[in-house]
This record gives sequence, C-alpha cells and structure tokens, in this order.
Amino acid sequence: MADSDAGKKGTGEVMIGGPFSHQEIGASLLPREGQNLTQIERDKLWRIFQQIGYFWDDLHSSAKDSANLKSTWLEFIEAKTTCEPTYVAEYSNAASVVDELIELYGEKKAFALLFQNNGIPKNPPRPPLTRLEHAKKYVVDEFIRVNVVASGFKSFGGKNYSGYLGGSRYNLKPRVRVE
Amino acid sequence: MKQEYEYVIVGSGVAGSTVAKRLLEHNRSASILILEAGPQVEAKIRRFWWDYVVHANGVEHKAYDFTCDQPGESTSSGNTRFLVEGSRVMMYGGSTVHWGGWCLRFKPEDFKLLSNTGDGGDWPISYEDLDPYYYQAEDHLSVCGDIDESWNKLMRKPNTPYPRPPFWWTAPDEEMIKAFKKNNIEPGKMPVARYRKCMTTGTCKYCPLGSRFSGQLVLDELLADRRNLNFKVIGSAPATQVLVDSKKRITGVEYLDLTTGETKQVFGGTVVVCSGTYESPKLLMLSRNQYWDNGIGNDHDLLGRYLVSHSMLKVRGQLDQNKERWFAEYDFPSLMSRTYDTEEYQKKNKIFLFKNRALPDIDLAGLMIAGLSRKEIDKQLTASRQQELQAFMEEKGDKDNRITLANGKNRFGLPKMKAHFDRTPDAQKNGDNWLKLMEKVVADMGYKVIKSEIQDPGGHHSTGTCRMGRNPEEGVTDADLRVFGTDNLYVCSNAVFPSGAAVNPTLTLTALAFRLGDHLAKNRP
Ligand SMILES: Cc1cc2nc3c(=O)[nH]c(=O)nc-3n(C[C@H](O)[C@H](O)[C@H](O)COP(=O)(O)OP(=O)(O)OC[C@H]3O[C@@H](n4cnc5c(N)ncnc54)[C@H](O)[C@@H]3O)c2cc1C
Repeated sequence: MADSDAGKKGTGEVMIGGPFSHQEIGASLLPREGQNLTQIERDKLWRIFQQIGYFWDDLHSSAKDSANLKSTWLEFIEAKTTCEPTYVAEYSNAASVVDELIELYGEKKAFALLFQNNGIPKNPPRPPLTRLEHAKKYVVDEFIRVNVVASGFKSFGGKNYSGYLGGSRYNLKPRVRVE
Repeated sequence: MKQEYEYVIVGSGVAGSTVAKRLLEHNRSASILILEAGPQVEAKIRRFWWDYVVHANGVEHKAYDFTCDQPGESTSSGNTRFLVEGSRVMMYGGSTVHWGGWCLRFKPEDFKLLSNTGDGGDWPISYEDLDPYYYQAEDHLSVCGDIDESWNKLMRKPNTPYPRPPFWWTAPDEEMIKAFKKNNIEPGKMPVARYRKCMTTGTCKYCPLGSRFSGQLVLDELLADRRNLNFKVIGSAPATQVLVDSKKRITGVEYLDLTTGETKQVFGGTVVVCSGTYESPKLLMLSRNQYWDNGIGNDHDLLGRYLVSHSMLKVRGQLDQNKERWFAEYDFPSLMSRTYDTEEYQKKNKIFLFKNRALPDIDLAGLMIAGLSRKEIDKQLTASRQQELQAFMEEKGDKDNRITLANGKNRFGLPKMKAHFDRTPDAQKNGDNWLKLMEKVVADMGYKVIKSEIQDPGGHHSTGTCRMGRNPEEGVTDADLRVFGTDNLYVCSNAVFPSGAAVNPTLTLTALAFRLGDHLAKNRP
C-alpha cells in the first residue's frame, strides 16, 4: 500500500513514524477480521500502558510502575475486546505502530514522541486517518484515561476521582479529601 | 383475549414502581400491569461504563441520553425559556435512571404557599399527613443524611436518623463553610439517595454497580420476586388514551405497541397515571370522549396549568492559586443550606443553597492526552481554581404557565408539546437580590466573582400540571390523588404538586406514592 505524507498536510509539523504508521486507513474504528488478540500483542499493549505511568510519573507503587493496576487494565482490555464494537483490530494496529516507532527511534524516545511530539495535526484537529493517529486516539488516549482514573490522579493530590473504584463506602473513612 | 388487571399503571418511573411495590406488599397476588412508553435498557454493563469513563468515541458524557427529550420534540414560549431537553428519561425505570439523587423533604410551609404568600397553591394535605411516608420514602431510596441541622428539628421527630450516614464535607467545602458562617448561613450535608454499596466513583450518571438508587433496580427486584405472581411490565408501550364506559367509570387504557405498530387495549379496575409532569396531563388531554369534551379531568380547564420548576441561580468565583491541588472528587454536592428556605422568605421566592459539585476541576487526563508534561500539568493544576455557589429558587405557580399539546409526534408516538412560561417581575427582582447575597458569600471566600446569573427553569423538577385541590375548581385531583369526577382514575406524579418548594421533588413524590398505595389497598373494591 502506498506511503502517505498525511502528517504534513496543512501543518508545519511532520508526523513521526515510517511508512506503516503513515498509511491511511480511514477514520472509523478498524473492523475485526476474525482475529483475536494474541498474547504477544497483549504484552505490547501492556508496555504502552506502563510507559504512560513512567512518562507522567503518576503511579506511586513501590516499583513506580503500573503493576498494581494490571488487573484493572486487563478487565478494561477484556471489555474492549469481547463486546461490540470490538477494539481487537485497533489493538493489533497499535502494537505494530509501536513496533515501528521503537525500531526507528529506540524505546524511550519512541514513547516520548508518541505521547508528546507526535506531529499529529491539532489545529484544527481532524479525525484519525493514519495508523499512527488510530493508535493515539483509540489506544494511547484511552489508556491515559484508564491510568488516571485507576490511580494516577492520586499523585496529583486527590483521594477520589471520576471513575475510581475505591472500596466500600461503609468503612467510615471519607473517600475524599476533608479538612 | 381481554387483558384484565386489578391495576393498570401508566409509567414505570419511581412513582409507578413505588405504587406497585406498596400494592404488592399489601397483597402479593394483586394483578398489576405497568405500561412503559420507553424501551428497557440494560444497566451495569462494564463495557459501557469503561467507554463512558475513558470518553471512548461518541460515549463521552453520555448515558441513556437517547431516551431523553431531543431538540424539536417540544417548544417553549413566554418571557423565559422552559428547558425540557434532557430533563427526563423515557425508559424502563424512568428519570431516576439519570437523576442526581438529592433527597430533601418539603417543609411544612410548602404545603401552604397560597395562604402564606397569596401566590401559587395550597396543598389539600399537610406536612403532618405526609410525615410518616417521608420516613418510608427515605428508607426506600436509601437516603444518606445528617440530622444535626436546625431545619431537621422542625421536620423530623426526635431520634429518627436517616437510614444511612451522611457523606462528609470535602476540603473545598470547608472554604465555603467559613464564608457561610460569616454570613449567618448554616451549613448542612446534602441528603442523597446513595444505595447499598456506593463507592463514590464519581460516575453517578452511569453507576457500574447499581449503587445509586434507580427505578430500574426496583422493577428488576419486583419482577424477580417469585411471590409477585401477577406483576408485569410491558415496555415500548406508550398509552395514548384512557378508556371509559361512563363519565365516572374508567375501564382501561389504549396503547401503541411500538414493536409491532399495533394499537392495543388493556383493562383495569383502577388506572394510575404515573407518566411524569408532562405526559400525565397530556394523556388526560388526549382522552377526549363523549363524557369529557376537553379530556378527562379537564372540565375546569386546569390540565397542564400551573407549570413550575426551579430557576437555578449561579455565582462563580475564581482564585488565582490552587496550592492545595483541589479538584472534584464526588459527582454530587456535599454542602448545602436551607437557611433561606423558610417561611420567612417564602414571599421572596425562597432559595435552597448548595455548592457546585463539579468545581474546582481539572481534566488531568485531557492535559496528558494533549501532550503536556508532568511539570506543565502541575503548574496548571496549582495556578488557579474556581468554586461556585448555586441555588434553586422557588417559582410560584401561575395559571398561564402551562403545557399544551403541539402538532406532530415524538419518538414514542406521543404528541409533541409546547411549554409556556413567564417569570414574574417580582420573581426576577427577588432572584437578582439573592444573587447579590450569593456574590457576597463568594467574595467572602476571597474569590473574584466572574459569573452571576439566573438560569432559565430546567424541566427536571417541573411540577403542577395536574395539581391537587380541595375541589374540582381548584385542582385536577383530590387529596387522595383521584381525578375529580372519576371513581377509579388516579395521578401520581410531580404533576399533582400545588407548589414546587425550593428543593428537589422526588422524595416527596415517593412519599405520595406510598400513601397512594396504602389508600388503594385499603379501598380495594
Ligand atoms: C438529570 C436529572 C437529575 C435529577 N436529579 C434529581 C435529584 O437530584 N433529586 C430529585 O429529587 N429529583 C431529581 N430529578 C427529578 C426526578 O428524576 C423526577 O422527579 C422523578 O424521576 C419523577 O418520577 P416519575 O415516576 O414521576 O417520572 P419519571 O421517572 O419520569 O417516569 C415516568 C415514566 O413514564 C413513562 N411514560 C410517560 N408517558 C407515558 C405514556 N403515555 N405511556 C406509558 N409510559 C409513559 C416515561 O417513559 C417514564 O419512564 C432529576 C431529573 C433529571 C432528568
């Protein structure tokens, strides 16, 4: 399939990635073509989730990583891949996009670029057209929200946050900051 | 085959389900049919909840919104726009599927608005008549609240705590509490219907656990209870006509089966209309027949009239630092006050004060998604914060404020609607004065006032379109909620309220529904 310079259209910035990331695939959710998520892909997705915690330094488990949230994250992935509309093809796509970015830039830089300086047009924003844009919108952005609601918000000062499931209300300890 | 039931209830919201529940408590084999215009939508789906939480494509901030009124399904006239869009939910379980769950009793003076002020209506029952049912309603809705506040001493018997302890004031509340005290405003804890195993996730609009009271849960439980042999709910079945065989005798209900397009009839010994403040009068208006030229219960042209809802007052302030790093942690307010919700202020359109639940706020994930670094986010978080004092202002019922049928049909095959609402110059003036007081509170917090406004009345708390009265010239229903001039037709809805008070209506509605259930069971033919 043809390489595309979609990232350059209408912006001064250049979209990161190589031919695979730049390939245009249309804006709508990628259809599942009968495939299931493999363990290899799941591991690659978990790496994206972990890197979010490292990059924003917001998960204060002893290892300073996302390990404590793995069951929450797995439940999220389960919900996204076993119910319609399924994200299986999006997850597969994101795993391959990240592979290409790591090959091009090395692991640390690849994630920093993906999270921060990805060159995806912002002004004006547009629907996700390329593989890279799909990976950012349907995977990275949603993982960031899971990171924050599942515990990441705590490092910013809160005790509770919209989406945080924090144990029974009847333990008599306030679930929010009180004076 | 003729479908016959002892009771046909139109509408499956909290009013309908509470009447059914009470009737079944009296008699497990009572045959009861609930007709519901809207569909049955599954609750507690983890996938939907996750999509809601992560703002997945198209789901952000939406929960059941397709069952709410859409633009174009109603119009508004008058000097003040009456907001119907988004103000109710038409589905199995009704609007409490979507509600905030704030549960406050009306006060004794609310039952005597006309006598006390010369405006609005008096109830044909008193606070004392409803008092025992308020306790039952609090229990049913699982209200969490505090009894230490002074207004509770006027309303509750000694040693009658709420069924659940209150939610704590949050740290940002404390800042407003200090300003309240400076202005002689007593702080209180918001009584809310949080249920069973609430974990305060802050996604109350879509609870993944079914922990916030919702009409859906009650229906599910009634249906699952195998003792309730003859209880049935039919969804996607909007009632289009109440049937009669004489002026006084109601025989049943005609409805549209939305799944087949057929018109069907069901027959019942007693018909209870629980279709909310808009659809209840509309159904009676639609029920024109040889005995009732203008619709059942409308011989005195009262159907649809005395429409009332709260106008919301808002004063927002900004502080140029947020070193405490506060952001919203609950999805409901924890601080409120009824200091100006008293008989003394009834003439001045009394108000119920509370703090905006969503402020101070910051979308941390949104900033990360936008590519800001940790340092930049920390800087934004600590740079400033906003807090907002809000109030519901009582509007008093005016005969010309009303709903009427409009041309065309909505998605449920029911006629569209027109709402007419004029705010009186007096109410406008009183609202402006309340804003000044609220601005002072916000300024006393050390904040700069950046917004101060009276919003248009939102239909969420609309009341008064089939109001109760002492006689047919004064109201559509009597003190027992029976439509004047009929033997066996009842309305149970916020529509029957002769005054809307300054607080949310549903606890009072639930109390009325229990009372009606007892009345019907006692007077079983
Ligand atoms: C966003 C929101 C927040 C709210 N927050 C609060 C709050 O915090 N505290 C509070 O006290 N109140 C609140 N309310 C109001 C509360 O939801 C209502 O007072 C309450 O739900 C009314 O109950 P009901 O049973 O009379 O009507 P509904 O719950 O609206 O139920 C009526 C049912 O009847 C059905 N129906 C209508 N017409 C027909 C017909 N012709 N045939 C068959 N079925 C029909 C409808 O589809 C609907 O399901 C809120 C409302 C909204 C929308």
